[in-house]
Parts: sequence; structure tokens; C-alpha cells
Amino acid sequence: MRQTKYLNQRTRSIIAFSMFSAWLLSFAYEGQILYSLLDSYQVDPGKLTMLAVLAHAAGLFLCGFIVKDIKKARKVMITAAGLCIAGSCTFFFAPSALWMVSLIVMAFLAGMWNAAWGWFYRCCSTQKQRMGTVAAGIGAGTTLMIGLNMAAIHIRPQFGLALALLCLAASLIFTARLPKSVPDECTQLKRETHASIRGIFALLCLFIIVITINSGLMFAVVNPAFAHLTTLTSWYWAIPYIAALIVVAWLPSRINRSYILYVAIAMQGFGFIAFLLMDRSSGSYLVVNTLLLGAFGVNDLFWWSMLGEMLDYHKNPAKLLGIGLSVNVAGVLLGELVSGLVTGAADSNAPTLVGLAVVCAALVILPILYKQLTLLLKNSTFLATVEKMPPEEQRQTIETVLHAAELTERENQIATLLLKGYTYRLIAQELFISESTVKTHIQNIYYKLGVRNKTELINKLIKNQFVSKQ
Amino acid sequence: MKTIRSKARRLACAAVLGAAVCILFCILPPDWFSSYIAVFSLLAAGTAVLAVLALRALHMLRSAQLIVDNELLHVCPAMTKTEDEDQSGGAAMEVSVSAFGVLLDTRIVRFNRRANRLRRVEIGRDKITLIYGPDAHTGKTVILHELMSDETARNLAGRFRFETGAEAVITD
Repeated sequence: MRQTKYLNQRTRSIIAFSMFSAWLLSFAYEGQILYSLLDSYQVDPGKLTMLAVLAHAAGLFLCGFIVKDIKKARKVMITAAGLCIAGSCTFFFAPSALWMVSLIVMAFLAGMWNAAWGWFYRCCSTQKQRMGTVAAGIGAGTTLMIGLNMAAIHIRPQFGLALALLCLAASLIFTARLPKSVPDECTQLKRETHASIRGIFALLCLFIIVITINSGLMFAVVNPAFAHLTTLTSWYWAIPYIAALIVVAWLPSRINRSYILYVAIAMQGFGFIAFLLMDRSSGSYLVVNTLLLGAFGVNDLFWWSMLGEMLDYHKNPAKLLGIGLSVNVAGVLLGELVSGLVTGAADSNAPTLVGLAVVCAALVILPILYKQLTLLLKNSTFLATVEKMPPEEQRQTIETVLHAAELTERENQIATLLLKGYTYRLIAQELFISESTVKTHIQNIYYKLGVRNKTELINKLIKNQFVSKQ
Repeated sequence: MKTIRSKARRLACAAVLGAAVCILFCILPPDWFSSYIAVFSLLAAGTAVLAVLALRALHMLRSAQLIVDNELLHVCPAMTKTEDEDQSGGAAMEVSVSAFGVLLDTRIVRFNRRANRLRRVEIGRDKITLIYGPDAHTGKTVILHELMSDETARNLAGRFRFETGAEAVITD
């Protein structure tokens, strides 16, 4: 029953997140409302929006170093939402230096809010629910954003801003109704393993950057090319993105989602090729935008859900989510930077060709990265499984592995600790030897066991090549 | 060990210096254009050679550090001979013996790495014989040292067995 009560909080956290996202995406984070307001006062958005994006990334990155528990997360979120409401109100008045200050502060606080939400992302959803949680949150937020954008474009920017403020206020209300604490089993759903997730997380960050470079390229190259189709772009732009989220999140579990990732990569490639070959009519926009935004929806859902899976292996979900999201922002900026460098070249197709080159690079890198990531996550899953085994079964499992190779006593010691999930540093501390000694022994162990790395060893174990079934 | 470390440092510094000069040449190419390409090419080639030598020295330093960190026996000074040398041809030097190899002043004999296993250790009162390699007769190093007590010899044999899995016997 206690678990049910806290799982009901899931809906509240989704609503809070989607409302906040609607405000953020339509206004503070390069939103259409902001652009409409600046345009109405003939203010150049370039520098202002760039500073806001950087401030947002900083807020995302730094949040985890400040927010260390769920209570603090809730406080930060409430404070940030309140200050963002106050800051947004300044945009009802004529432009001044206050606009710049407000926007930068709001963007930073929004970053803090998003990262702090990681606590509720973990604690209010079970691991199986996380993909659905993020799909619902992002999907609803994006849908609301479309409505707010259309209000800003077709009615008045100030009207759009007022609606966005309502969303923000709703987010504040739902955030205030989120729990101040959760049961211990929610904060430690999976006991922390000794396995370090730093390597896995670094790989995931690389994954995110490679994917989102293409997003940045699209924003800087494709969108301006169809800017003359104001009505169509104002409402259709994010539809394929939302559709992709819905389709992928609610696919039956028997379907292997990794195939869909490859389809998404291919869609990106075709999208850029279509942009290169087709004209700039409405039909072309429908094709190009559907392919690209559909692909981005799939990609975003994948890395969000991978981040969600990793939250159970780190004591501070705000840190993990914050850094992951800041890397996403960095990837988009990198894409825009790359397009900025090639724009203005004699060949007008240069930016598109760069985009295709990046897509090709992504097509090569992403399957490898994804494979390594899932193998490594299986590694963590395996280690968690081993730790949960009764001691006798754990001992037998490990002995079966070690018996397969003629290890020395020292190598046996080290291999046992390695299979229990100890990091190199912990093994070195445990055995009073240096880390480089541990690494050398482990290389010898891998050689004797006929594997190249821990991932292959765990993969073999998972496939039951070593573990004998009782 | 000190010699290996200082050599590695000197080579690394030289390589870094060479790379810095190459970068400067790229950023601020000198006016005497006709010779620029030739000089730059020479510099780049020299830097590449230094970098390779530095990497080798650093690799050697790493191996030496590994041996010293896991030292089982330290002999200073020690007389050594390999299979092809006779007794009088042996050199006096500082020797560290570990599970990963032997550090003979500036020379390193690595074993217990992949197929190159330490097969057998014969511990005598005044010498220690290490037999290693993929094949049992591939390599043999004999280290002469000061007299060792029985207990010390037994401890040493036990540690070798534990660390390397090699057959460790005590001889007269």
C-alpha cells in the first residue's frame, strides 16, 4: 500500500514536469514566445538566446552538486518555479537590461529544476515505468508547447506568455504536492554495486552528444530553409516528435527496441538527403520534418530511458540526470556551431553536406556505442544479480567461472572480487596492492579465460557458457 | 629504476618541446618561406621519433614500477648471468625480483604476461634461478645473492607460488 501511495505520485511528477517543459520549451529555452516578443520589439535574439542556453546547461550541470536529497530537490524546484514566474513577468514590460538578467537567471534555474526532478523520476516510477514516464512528460510538454507557440504567433506574444505562465504556475502547484520524503526502499531500489558506472555514463554522454549534434544542425540548417511556411511550421514542427514518443513508448515489450534505433538513424539520413534533393514547398517540409523529428523523438526517448535505468545505480539522480541533460544541450550547441562555421560558404549545400557527414559518422558510431552500452548495462544487471544471490550460490557461480582457467591464487583472489563487482581501486585497497598491479593481473585473467574485457566475460556468463545450471 | 625514470623524463620533455616548436611553426610561420617546409618537416620527423622513444621509455618505466611495487626480493649489489654468459662475465647491479619480472638495473626481464609464464623458481642459499617463457626452456636467469636463511627461502618460495603459480623449490 505504501508503495502504491508513492507510485501515485508518478502522475503528479509527470504533470509537474510536462507543465514546466511547456513553459521552458515555448519561452525560456529558445522558445517561440521569446522570439516573437523579441521580434515585436525588433531586438536581436542571437546573443541573448545563446547566453540563456549556456546558463541552462550550467544549471543542469551544477544542480547535482548542490541537491543531495529529495527534500532539497523539492525545495529547489519550488523556489526555481516561483522565481521563474517572477522573471517571466518582466517580459510583459518594454525590453531593458532586466530582460537579459531575467532570462539568464530563469534559464539557470530551469536547469536546476530539470536536474532536481531526477529524484522524482527515480522515486516515483519503477524501473519498468521510466520510459513511459519520460514519454508522457516530454510528449505532454511538447504538445502544450505547440499550443503556446501558436497562441504567440497567431494571437499575441504576450498572450502566449500569459498561457505559459499559467503552465508554470500549475507546475509549481503540482511540485508542491510531490512527496518531501520517500521510503528507504525507493531511494535504494537497487543496492549500490561496487561496479563503477562512470565508464558507462561517459559512454552514454558520448552517445547523447553524437545524436544531438544532428538536432543542432537541423535547427540551424533545415528550419530556416522552411521559415517562410509560418502556419505549417508553427503547428506541425513537433507532431512527428510526439508521435514517435507515443509509438516507441507503448510498443509491446516483445519488440526489440534496438532495431527501432537503427530505423531512426536511417530516418535521419534519409531526412537530410530529402532536404538536399527536394524543394522548399509544404510537401517537402512534411517529408523532411517527419523523417528528422520522428528520428529525434526515438533517439531522445532512448537516451532518456537509458539515463532512467542508470539512476538506480547512483546515489544522486539529480547529478546523473543533470550532467546527462547538459551534455544534450552541449550536443545541440555543437551542431549549431558546426553549421555556423560552414554557413556562408560559396556552396549553399555545404551545411547540408556537413549534416550528412555527421549522420554518416553517427551511423557508424551509434550501433557500436549502443551495443557497448547495453552490454555494460547487462554487466551491471548481472553484478546486481550476483550480489542478490544467496552466498552459497554466489560462491558456486564464481567458482565455476574461475575453474575454467588455471588461475594462480592471487589471480583467484582478484577475479573473485572482480566478479562481485569491486572496482580496480577497491580491489587494490582490499588486497593492499597498487591499482596498476590489479590491472596487470586482470589482463592475465582475461587472457586465461579467453576474453578481451569485462564486458565479454559478463556476456559469456549471461549466456551461461560458464555458469552451470542447477 | 632512477636511470629508467630520468631517461623517460628527458625523452618526454624533448618530445613535448619538439611538438611545441612544431605548433609554433604552424601558427607563426617564419618569413624565410623557401626553407620553411624543409625545416618544419625535419622538426616534425624528429619530434615523431622522440615521441616514439619517449613512449617506449615510459612503457619501460611502467614495467619497472610494476616490478618494484610487487618486489619479492631485492638484491643490491647482485651478480647475474644469463645462459650465454659465464660466471666471470656477469655484471654487478641492483636487482629487483617480482612476480612480474626482474629489474636488472636498466634492463627488464618480463614474465607472467600472457603466454610468457614463470615456470619454475629454484631458490638456493646463494642464488635464485628463474625459468620462464612459453616453453619451459625458453629463458633462464640466475641471480647470485648473499646467503639466505632457510626460513627466508621458504617464505620466498611460498610467495612465488602464491603470486605466480610457478613451481618453487628450495635447493641446496
